Amino acid sequence: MADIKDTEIRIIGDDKSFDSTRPLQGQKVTKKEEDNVSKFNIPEGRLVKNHRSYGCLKPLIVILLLIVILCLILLFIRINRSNSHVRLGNSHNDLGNYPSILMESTDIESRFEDFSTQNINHIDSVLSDNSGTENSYCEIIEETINGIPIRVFLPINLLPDLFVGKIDQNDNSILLALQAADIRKDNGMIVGACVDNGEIISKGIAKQGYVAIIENKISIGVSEHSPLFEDAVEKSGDFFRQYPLVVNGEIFDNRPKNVSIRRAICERNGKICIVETLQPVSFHDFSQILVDYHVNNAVYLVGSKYACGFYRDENQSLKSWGDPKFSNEKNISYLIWRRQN
Amino acid sequence: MATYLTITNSKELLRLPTENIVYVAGSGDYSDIMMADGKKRTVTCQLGQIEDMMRDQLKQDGRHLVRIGKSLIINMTYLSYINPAKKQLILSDCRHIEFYLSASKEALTDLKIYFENHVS
Repeated sequence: MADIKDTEIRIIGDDKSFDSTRPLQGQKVTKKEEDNVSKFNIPEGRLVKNHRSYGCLKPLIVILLLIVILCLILLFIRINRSNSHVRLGNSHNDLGNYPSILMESTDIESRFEDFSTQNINHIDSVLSDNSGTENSYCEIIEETINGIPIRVFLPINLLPDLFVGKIDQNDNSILLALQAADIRKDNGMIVGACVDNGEIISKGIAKQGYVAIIENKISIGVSEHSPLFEDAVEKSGDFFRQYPLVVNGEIFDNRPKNVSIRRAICERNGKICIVETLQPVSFHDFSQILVDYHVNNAVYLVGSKYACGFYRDENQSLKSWGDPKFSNEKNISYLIWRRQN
Repeated sequence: MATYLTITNSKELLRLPTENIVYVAGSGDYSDIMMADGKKRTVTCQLGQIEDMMRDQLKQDGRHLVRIGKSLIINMTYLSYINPAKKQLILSDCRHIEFYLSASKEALTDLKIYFENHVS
């Protein structure tokens, strides 16, 4: 079926006998009602358009003017090479204790703030000051980019590895673990090529992005045929494939258009970090966030609120996420960082 | 006679009476199916795939199901309250269950109009 927008509805069902041009039984149809009824002549699978679209040129003109003004402002900001936040007001969930499905702002406040460079400078200083020191830990920073809250994990002097199978969260040597490759729904195999400690787990080029861990060095990139796959086999390394998100500082468009919690392994100024969104976004918006965060290259890691993972904070307390029900699959894989011995 | 939605893969089969499906919410590669007994079942299918299954399996019997935006399918027989301005949608059997949901104002406006004109 065709993609559907958040503003549209679609009736499911084969409604061949339905005739919207006939008046409802017992109801006198005025001309206005007739117009409304005729607009809802819905063959199967048709989208229902907002009936108010007729004769609403004024709001459309206002919206177009607002879009033009917004584009000019963004252009001005880019020209001045400053990063601004457009903060949207908090989504007011006044629906009680029941789950809210779509995160929408009811009261929108638009204001521009100077982009906080403190955290980015902090990341740079953490990465450069601690290289070569003996401290092994995972730095965690929370930030907001383009109105979306994100969490950044910075492995400091930790050993990366790919782990396939059921992971032990009580293994204190693991400071960070995130699900890596996707699993096929039909046969439970890993999607795309995968190498674990030199052993080929699966083959294929389902996704063009890749992550390779060879001799404790992580490489990420996009290529249908990467020599790092063979290198990983020869040198007892690791390799897996995922969606590429950012390539040389530019967005890489992917097919999935849904929204979800997103995670990615990123290369930024030659250093590796993990970025996770704290609310659902689309692939494109996630890639834009990473580009605006000055990420050079980024490859996706399994997202959604169900994918399992964990980290240990500065007090070595275990923080985990995901639904354990989905952590029992045989070929589940994790990108992990362990303490150095 | 009850109609059923059947979701199956190589490992398992899930069969749900559609009259007891209150709503289906999508989240990435997974979907949560909320049933009238208050239990939620999570399946490893995208919402679009659930919609296609409903369309293929239920055909005319699926008329009471509506997809709202990218993340929600509801059963209109449980529709209890719509307020497009506040983006509020309440699904309830007015006996044991009540779910508060949210959707875009435009979609809820269309749903309200459709419900007024076509559903008794």
